[in-house]
Amino acid sequence: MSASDPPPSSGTLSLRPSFWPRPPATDPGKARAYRRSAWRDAWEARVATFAVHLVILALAAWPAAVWRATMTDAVGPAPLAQDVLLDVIRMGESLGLGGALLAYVFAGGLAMMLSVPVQLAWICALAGRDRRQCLRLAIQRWPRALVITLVVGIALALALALACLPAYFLHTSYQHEPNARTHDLLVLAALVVPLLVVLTASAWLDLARAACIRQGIGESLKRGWWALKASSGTYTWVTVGRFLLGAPLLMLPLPPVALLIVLQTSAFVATFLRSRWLAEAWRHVAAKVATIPSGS
Amino acid sequence: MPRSHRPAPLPFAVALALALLAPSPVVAELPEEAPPHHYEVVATLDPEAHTIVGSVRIRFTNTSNAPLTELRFHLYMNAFESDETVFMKESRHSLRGVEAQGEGSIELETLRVQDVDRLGRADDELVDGDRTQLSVPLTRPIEPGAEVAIDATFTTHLPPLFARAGYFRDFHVGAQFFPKLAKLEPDGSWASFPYHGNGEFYSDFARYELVIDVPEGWVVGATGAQTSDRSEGSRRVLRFEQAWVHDAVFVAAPWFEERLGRQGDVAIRVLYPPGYGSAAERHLEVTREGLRHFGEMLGAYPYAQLTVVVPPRGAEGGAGMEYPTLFLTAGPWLAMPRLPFLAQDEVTAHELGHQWFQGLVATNEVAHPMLDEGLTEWITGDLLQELHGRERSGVNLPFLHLDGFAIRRAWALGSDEPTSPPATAVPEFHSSNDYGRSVYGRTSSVLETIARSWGRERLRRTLGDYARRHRFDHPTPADLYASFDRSYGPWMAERVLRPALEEGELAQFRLMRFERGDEGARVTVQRVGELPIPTQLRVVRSDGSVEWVPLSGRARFDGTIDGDVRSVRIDAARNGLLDDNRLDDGAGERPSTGLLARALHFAQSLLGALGP
Repeated sequence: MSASDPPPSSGTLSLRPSFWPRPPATDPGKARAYRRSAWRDAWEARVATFAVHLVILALAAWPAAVWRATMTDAVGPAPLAQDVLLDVIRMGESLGLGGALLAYVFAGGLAMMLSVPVQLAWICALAGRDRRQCLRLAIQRWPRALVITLVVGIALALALALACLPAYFLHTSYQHEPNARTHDLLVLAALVVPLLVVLTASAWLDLARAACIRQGIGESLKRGWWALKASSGTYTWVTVGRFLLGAPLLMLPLPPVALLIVLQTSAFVATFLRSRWLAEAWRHVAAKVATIPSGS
Repeated sequence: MPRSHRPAPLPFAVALALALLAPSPVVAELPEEAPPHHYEVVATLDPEAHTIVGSVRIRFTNTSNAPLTELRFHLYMNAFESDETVFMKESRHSLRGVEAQGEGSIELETLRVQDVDRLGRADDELVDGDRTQLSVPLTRPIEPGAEVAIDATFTTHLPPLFARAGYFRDFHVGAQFFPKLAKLEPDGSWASFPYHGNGEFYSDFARYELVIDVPEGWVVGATGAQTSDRSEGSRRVLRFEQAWVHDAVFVAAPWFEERLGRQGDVAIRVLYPPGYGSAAERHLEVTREGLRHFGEMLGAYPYAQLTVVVPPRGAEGGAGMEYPTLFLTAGPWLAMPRLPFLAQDEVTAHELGHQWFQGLVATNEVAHPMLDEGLTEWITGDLLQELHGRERSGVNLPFLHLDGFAIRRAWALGSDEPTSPPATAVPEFHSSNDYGRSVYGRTSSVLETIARSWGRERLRRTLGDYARRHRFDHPTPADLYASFDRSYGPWMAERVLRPALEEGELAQFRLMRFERGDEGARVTVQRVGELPIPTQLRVVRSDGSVEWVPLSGRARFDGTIDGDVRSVRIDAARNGLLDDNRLDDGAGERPSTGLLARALHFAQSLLGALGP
C-alpha cells in the first residue's frame, strides 16, 4: 500500500483490484446539479443535435429508399402486416432484396465509421465549444477514441464471458428438472447479469469518449468508470426511452402522412434524449478533473 | 319477509316453438352393435428397462367375403431395431427434426390361433431387412363371418422417443407396442404395409381393453375410459376400455399433473408436466372450442372421454401425435405462461381434428394421406380463424399478424423443388419435405381457396356430409369427391378437385397488360393453370373510387376499363391461395408513404443504435 492510499475501511468488501485507483467521493448535490444543467446544455446545442439527426437520416435514407422501391415493385402499397411479407421473403432473391440488405450493411458500416468523430464533435458542442473547434477536436481525438473503444470492447468480451457463467451453470444444473419452468425462470433471471454488463460497458464507452476530449486514454477510462455510478440512472432511462421511441412505433395504425410526421418526430426526440445523456456524461467526467486526489 | 315472484309460465305454443328453434345440443352416440373385433391387451411397464411385457387376446371375425388362409399382423416396434428397416431408410434416422438415438423392437414369444401354435410357420420378413409385418399362414381357412381367438405374448423394447413411441427419461409413450392385425379389406385381402416414416394408420374398428401395470404412484393416460384402478403391492394396475376405435395407446410418467374439463358430454383430461399449468389451461380451452366447432361441422365426438397429453421438454419426438380418444400436443417448450404465438393452439387443434379425420373417418393413411393430414390441416386452420380471426390466425403478435393459410400457402408453393400432387401415396413422395408441403400445405390451400371463393359455410357443410356419411367407415378419395359434387354440382370434382389434388394444378393469374389512355385503361389478365377459380380485379381510379371487376373463372380477360384508372390488382382480397406468384398481379399503384415512413424509421433506429 502506498502512502497516499487511504486506509482500508473496515467491514466493507471491495472487489476493486489493488492497482485500480480509488474513485473520488461524489457529491450527490453536484450530481443533481449536473442533471439539471444537462437539460440546458442539450437545448443550447440543439442545432448540433439536429445536424447529427440529419447525418443519421441521410444514412438511413439510402437503405430505406432501396427497401421501399423493392417492396413497391414487388407488391404495391400493401400494409406490412399481411402475407405480402411471406411472398417477399419467399421471392427475396428475384426481387432484389439482397440489394436492400446490402444497402443496410453498407449504411450500418458507414454509421459505425462515422460514429466516433460525430460523437466527439457532438459532445464538444454540448460542452459549449464553437463549431470549428469541435470539428478540429473530433479529428484530433479520433485515434484516441478508437483505442478507448477497443479497450472497452475487450473488457466487455471478458466480462460477458464471466457474466454468462451463472446462466450456464444454472442451465446444466436444472436441465433435468421435471418442472421446466423452474429451469427457464432461473436461466432467464441469470441472463439479466450479461444484459447489465452490456449496458454498463455501453455507458462506460460514452463517458470515456466524453472524457477523452480533454484527457489521455488511461485517464479517460478511469474517469468514465468513476462516473458510472452517478450517471447510471440517466443512462438507463434514456436507453429505455430511445427503445420505446424506436421499433414499437413501427406498426402504429396511422394514415401515411401522419405516420411519417409521428415517426420522424419520435426519431428526433430519441436523438435529443441521447444529447441529454451525452451532455450529462460530459459534465460528470469534466467535473472530476477538479476532484481527483493528487496522489492517485 | 321478501316476497317471492314465480315467473308466469310461458304459453305452451311459445315454449314449444322456442324448444324447436333452439339449437339442438351436439350429441352423438356409438353404434349400438358391438364392433366385429375385440382386443384385450395386458401390459406391464418396466420403467427402468423401458420394456413392456404383455399379452394380447384378439377375438377376430372374418368380415370379408372370402375365406382367409392367412393372418397378417403389424409389429411396428421392429421399425426401430436396425438401420435396414423401411422406416429408418425412409426417414433417414430422423423424423420431424428429431434424430434417432437408440433401438427398439418387439419380440413375439407365443402366437396361438384357436389354441394352436402358429409362430413357427410365421414369416416376419416380408420386406428385406424389415420385420414390421408378420404373415401367419392358417391350416384351416377362416370362413366369412367366422370368429377365431388369437393369443400372443410379447416383450416390447421401447426406443428412445424420437418417432411417436418410446421413452424420454421416465416419460413413456406406449404406441404400436403390441401385435395388431392389419386392415382386412372386403375382398379378403390384407391392407398390410411396413411401418413408414410418414403415415401409420389403417385398421379395423374394434373394442379395446387395455390393462396397464405401472409402478405405484405413476399416472397413466390411455385410449378410452378408465374402468378400474387397483394397487397390487408396489404396482398400480389400471383398466381402460373403448369400443369403436381402431388403435389403443397409453402414456405414463410419475410426475404428470392433471387438469379436468368438460365439453357437453365429453370429459376432457389434460395430463402435463409440472410447471406447464398455464399451457395446460390453454390446451383445455382450445380442446373445448375444437370439440364444439368440429362437432358442429363434422358430427359430434361420440366418445365419453378425451385425453390430452402435454409431453415434457425433450420429448419432442412424441409431440403432435394423434390416437383414438387421446392425443399428444406440444409445449410451449419455453414453459412461460401465455406466449402470444399460436403454435401450441395449432398443434392441439390439429391433433384434435384427427379425432374425425382418421379417428372416426378411418381412411388408409399410407395410400391417401391427404384424406387424413390434408383435411385435418384445413379444419385446423378453420378453427384457428374462428378463434383468432383470419388475419391473426397464423401469427398473433402485438406488432405483427399473419393469416395462417397464407403461411400454409407460402410453405406449399415456396420451394423450387418439384412438388408431388397431394393425392400421392406416402412411399411415392420424394422426401418428407415434399410430403409435408403437398399433403398439409397444398391440400389445405386448395380447400381454403374453395372456402374463400364459394363460401366457407358451404365447404363446412360439404366436409360435414362426407364425415357423417363415412363415420366408422373407410372411405376413399372418390367418396370425398362425391360429397363435393353433391354440394357444388357435378363439375366440382372433375374441374377443380381432381386437377388440384391429383395433378397438382394451380390457378396462377398474371396481369399481362395495363395501358392507360384517354378512353380508359386496356387490361389483359391471363390465368395459367386449369383451375377455374373465380377472382376479382380491383380497379382504383384517380378520384379514389374503387371498382371490383369479377373474373369469374375465365382463363383470359381482355378489355378496356372506362375512366381515369390509376391502378389495378388481381385478387386484392387474397382469396386465392393457388397463385404461386402474386408479384405479377398488379400495376399502377403509388409508392406507399406509410411504407417509406416505416422503412426510414426502422433504419434510423438501427443506425442510431450503431452510430453516435
